[in-house]
Amino acid sequence: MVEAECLECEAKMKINDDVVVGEIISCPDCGADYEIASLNNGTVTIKVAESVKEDWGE
Amino acid sequence: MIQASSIPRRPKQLTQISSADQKKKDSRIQFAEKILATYSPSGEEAEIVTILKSELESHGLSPRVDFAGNIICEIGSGSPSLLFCPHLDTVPGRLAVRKDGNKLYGRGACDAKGALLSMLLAFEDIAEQFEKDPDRSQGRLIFAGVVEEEKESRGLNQLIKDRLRADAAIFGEPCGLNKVTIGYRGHVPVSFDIRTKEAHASAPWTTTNAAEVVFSLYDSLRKKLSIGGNAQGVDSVSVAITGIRSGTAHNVIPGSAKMSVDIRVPIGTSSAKVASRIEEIASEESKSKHCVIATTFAELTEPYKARVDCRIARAINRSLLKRGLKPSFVTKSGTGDMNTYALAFGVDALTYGPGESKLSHTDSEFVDIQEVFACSEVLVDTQKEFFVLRN
Repeated sequence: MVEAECLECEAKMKINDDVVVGEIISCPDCGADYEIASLNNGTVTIKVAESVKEDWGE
Repeated sequence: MIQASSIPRRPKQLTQISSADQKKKDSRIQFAEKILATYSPSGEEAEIVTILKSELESHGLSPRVDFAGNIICEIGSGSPSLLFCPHLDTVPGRLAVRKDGNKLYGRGACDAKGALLSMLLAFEDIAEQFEKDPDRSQGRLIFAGVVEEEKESRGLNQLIKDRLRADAAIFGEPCGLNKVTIGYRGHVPVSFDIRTKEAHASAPWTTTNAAEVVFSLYDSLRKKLSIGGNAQGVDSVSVAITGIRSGTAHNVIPGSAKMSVDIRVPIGTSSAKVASRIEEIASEESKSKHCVIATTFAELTEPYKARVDCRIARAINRSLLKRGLKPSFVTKSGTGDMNTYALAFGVDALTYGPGESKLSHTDSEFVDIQEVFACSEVLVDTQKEFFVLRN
């Protein structure tokens, strides 16, 4: 398991070994969502995940 | 250590479909037309249940119908458990069923017979795979088609009453192939009964006009319930009048008025707290306007949002990535059955299915049959991912 730092609150986020590029992770402290941008030999790059809100619904 | 892993993606080139596969698809299209042609407004789901029961039995499965009229079928055993929960009913109003290319038109095509079909077909395909697997204790999959979602969710409430708990659930509603609904606002349906003293309309200063209290109360609710000045959107508390009744004659100041209001509550807020605040506002209004206001709430639903990295969200995300799709996790302004189920059992829940939700409850609703099949394949892979992923 590796860690990444939350870009919002700098908390450490633990990332599962089986994660794949494109998956979304959440900061356990502030709840910010990040997309796994790349994985390379144990190094992970994250980017802020798109948040979609629809003024519509069931 | 993290490997530079990637989920193998399917080749984008279309492979030639075998005649057996084509036959299966054709028969499924026919079945989809039959489901669409079976009119099933809330409270009239018996016929569609009979069709679904016979369909599941034809696959060697053993569905049951519960007290509320829901159809339930389970395969596998052990842990984890996953629930597919589409609804069987539609809003009322018959529409002609027709097929135009891949588009199937008819009442409920979008909301939510497309999702019902995707979940049913996925369930049948998974059951076929389970049949070939000697170890069927790797997990349990439940299909529960529920009644009266478009009314008071009697079907879902029966599942909760019967303690049909799964570790995670996917509810069936139109979202679109790559969109997954992870959050809905809460719901506070409330009605007010305002009582004052009637008076002659020629002397309006002698009493409080009950009809006028309706508007001042509505104004107070909007102003006092607003959050951070947000007037609109998923993050706001929305206050919508859905009914007003008052007046006896053109020359009588009304001594009573009734107003029903639909209030939606954003994630991070509590419907119960909003309900308490509504009672306070009604009481303040009652004192300042010298009238009696009785406040009645129908069933409250709390807002709910699943974490995007929970096991079931990860599973569907990986399934979509595998198909080369960019997953999109959506929070909607409405309220869904998933709120009630997830909060009743403390489990994760999502909503997914083919179709464009803006067509729901309209006379132009349709669903693309290829999207129904694609969503079904996403659900098959989601189940696989969910069963093997760690918590």
